[in-house]
Amino acid sequence: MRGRRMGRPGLVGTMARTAVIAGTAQAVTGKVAQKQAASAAQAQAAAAAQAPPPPPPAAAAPVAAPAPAAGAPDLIEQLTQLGELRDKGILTEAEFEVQKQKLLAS
Amino acid sequence: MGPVEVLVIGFPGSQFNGEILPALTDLVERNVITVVDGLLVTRNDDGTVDVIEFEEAGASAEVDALAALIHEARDLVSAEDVDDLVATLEPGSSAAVLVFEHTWSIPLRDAIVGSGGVLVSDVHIPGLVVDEVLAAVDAL
Repeated sequence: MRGRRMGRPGLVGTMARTAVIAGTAQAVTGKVAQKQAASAAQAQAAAAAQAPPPPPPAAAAPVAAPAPAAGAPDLIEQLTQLGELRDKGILTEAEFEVQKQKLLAS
Repeated sequence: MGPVEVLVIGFPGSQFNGEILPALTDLVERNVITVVDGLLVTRNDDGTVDVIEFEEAGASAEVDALAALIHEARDLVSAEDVDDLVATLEPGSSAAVLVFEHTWSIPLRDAIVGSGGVLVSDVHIPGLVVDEVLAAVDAL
């Protein structure tokens, strides 16, 4: 019963992969994700920790299009985070390999 | 586009009751947010998930009013996203998935970029987490 949304790229899935590439994966995995999963009252996704609950608009941090950080994050740390996302099932083995090659090539 | 938020709102029973409409409509009319996508989700008793597009939801004034708030609808949430988003939705429950742009933040973003600034970090903290931190600080 999924109709037209089957097999298409989506915001949540793309966010999880983009967060890894930009080196911000710690915002998606780890303690933040666990806390949000525990907040069942707010009906948050467990796997997609980047789906925030109703916030007051005035309280958000300055927002901009995702831009590279001023200094390149440590390569080993990025590879480790990538592996963790694969281990958690957020990335498939194939997706992990693709992103790993991109990191090694950069 | 500005940053987009994906809200999944569970509601009692299987009926979207429309009580959030006034608040949502106000934000849309003031151009604070722009609703870009939406759908309804039901977790059946057997655990499977049904995705119901607003147009498919049948004659309901509340759902029609919600659908009317969508500006230039795009399918930005995939079926796979829906599975992730409703992971904690109980069997026999329904939820509305609302996807909206934080239109209010675009001038700020443009000002930052125009000033030569670079986004170093952007982290969204749920209100409950903020409350936890405040309580922990107060308890020190």
